[in-house]
Amino acid sequence: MEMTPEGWLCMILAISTVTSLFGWCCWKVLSPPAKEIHATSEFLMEDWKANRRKRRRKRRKWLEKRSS
Amino acid sequence: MEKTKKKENWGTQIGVILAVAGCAIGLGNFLRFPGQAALYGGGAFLIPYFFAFLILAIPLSWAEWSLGRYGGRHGFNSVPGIYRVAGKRRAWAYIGAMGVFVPLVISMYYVYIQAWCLAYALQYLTGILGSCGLQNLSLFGETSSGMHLGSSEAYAQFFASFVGMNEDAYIFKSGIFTPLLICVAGCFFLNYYLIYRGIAKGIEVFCKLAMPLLLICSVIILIRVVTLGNPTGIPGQSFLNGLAFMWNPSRPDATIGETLSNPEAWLAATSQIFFSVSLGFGLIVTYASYVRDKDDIALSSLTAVSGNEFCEVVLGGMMIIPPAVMFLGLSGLTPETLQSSFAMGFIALPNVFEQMPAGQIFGFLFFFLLFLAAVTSAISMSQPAVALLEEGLEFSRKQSVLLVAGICALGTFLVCYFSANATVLDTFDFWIGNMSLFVLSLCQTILIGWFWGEEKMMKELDRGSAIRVPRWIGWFLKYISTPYLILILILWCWYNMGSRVQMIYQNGIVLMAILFLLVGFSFFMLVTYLAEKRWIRAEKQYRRQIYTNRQGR
Repeated sequence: MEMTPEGWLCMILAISTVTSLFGWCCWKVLSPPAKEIHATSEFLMEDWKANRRKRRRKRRKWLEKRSS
Repeated sequence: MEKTKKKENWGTQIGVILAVAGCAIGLGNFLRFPGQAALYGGGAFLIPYFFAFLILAIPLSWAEWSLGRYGGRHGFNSVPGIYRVAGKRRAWAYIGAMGVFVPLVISMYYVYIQAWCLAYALQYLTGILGSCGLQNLSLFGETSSGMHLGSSEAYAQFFASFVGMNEDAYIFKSGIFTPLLICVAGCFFLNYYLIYRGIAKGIEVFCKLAMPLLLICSVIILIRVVTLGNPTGIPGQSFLNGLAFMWNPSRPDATIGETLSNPEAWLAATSQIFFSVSLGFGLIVTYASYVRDKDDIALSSLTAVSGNEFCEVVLGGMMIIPPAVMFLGLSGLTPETLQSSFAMGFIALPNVFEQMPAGQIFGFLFFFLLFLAAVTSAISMSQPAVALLEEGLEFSRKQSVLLVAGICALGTFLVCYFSANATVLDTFDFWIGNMSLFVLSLCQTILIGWFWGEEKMMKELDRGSAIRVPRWIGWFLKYISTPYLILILILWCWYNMGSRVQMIYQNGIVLMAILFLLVGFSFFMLVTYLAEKRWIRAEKQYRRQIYTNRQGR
């Protein structure tokens, strides 16, 4: 059984696709993180909103302590 | 419900990627994939294979990571807890109990296979196993160092004898200090020691060592294989002939069209991807629950999956079938050999290493890399059960590990004792390692698509992401991956279930194994029930506390 052109094509395509994907992923993992990561600012805003009530409660307690 | 105790987390992003890749990369990458590809059309097999990779592997992997991290952010590391918080219905906790039981049962027989790999590696390294403990020493010819048995039949006989396939309790008959039993005990203690050490100090540290070592061993063997040429001098048995057998899409017995119109080829390709990437095991969900809130999971998931594919397609695809053709010829690779990972790994390949120049070294490297792959997979399989006991019943780590180890030891004992024709191993593998995995994965996909929601999944994936995940992945998972998974499950049942159900009635050992599985599953359902009561009590207390605080103001 000899290697046919289709066989070479299958082998090269499969190996290069998988290796490229893995290589790209490794490069992204090992490279320094981008300053503005996708959607981080959205989450920072959401977290800020979620923590607003907590901050208000803390401020109220601080004011009460101060006034007493 | 917010957890107040200190949460375990992975140390680094690379650590979690290596751990998840480790749980995915196993014997299947090196033994099952090459055989399946060669059996079902070679290069043509890769068409349904990559189709399944795109349709199932990538979306389901992303979905599992996002579900796991979501559960982790809500204080849950166990699959029942994660399913319950995502599905917002109590029933999901009990479905999640499968995500604990299934990997644990797989680990019961996986540790046995891990011990085979260790035993063969030691045999190649030192020849020690050849000189003690075996009754049929005439199999070894005159030398006791390395494996020199002379023919595939002799290797088949040795393998069957060594692992006790010829009669039940064979490995106990020569006493407890037999080589294989010592290897089983050693593997058992190693696995549970690493689990006891914890996520960051045990599993992550080991994977950071084992995975690069596994890669180095593979590359060394690959270089050896590629540079062999035609070692026997027999026409038609060169490296290129081996590549042709593996990669040519058209063959005398099947054209590309015939392969692609064969439903068994599609089923084999999809099953291979499914089991190879460890989808639906409950492992990725558990591991992802230990990822920090703002860490990336999209890129980590893609890296782990692509790493698994690299080991499978590039390393497994190049270093197994070609040398087998070179030394055994096409006649040595029967359909039975190609179909069975055990026949390929423990019968055909030792015969190859015997004939290969410096085969003892490469044989050791090969079985050592299989051992490393087995360890990294096995340690992931007990972690879901440990997590459930820790967070559901508030056991300490030591108590959880001891209890899980005890249950696993019982199952492993049954696998080792009823070793004739690997009856218990085969039963566990079929009903749990195949059937239940499909069912669990389908349940998980339905949970994510229809109960938890694609919006939450995408939001979780985007959190801390270093790459842009396509917006249509959620829709794709719901309307493409899920129906494809249902189709594969139906096809798989169609081809496999009939004879298996009959075996339960005809074989007492199979019936006993099924009863053991039912009792084990009932135990974990009970644990989930008790855990759920605790969680409900804790949630009520937490709500009462908030109400009290508000009243106080």
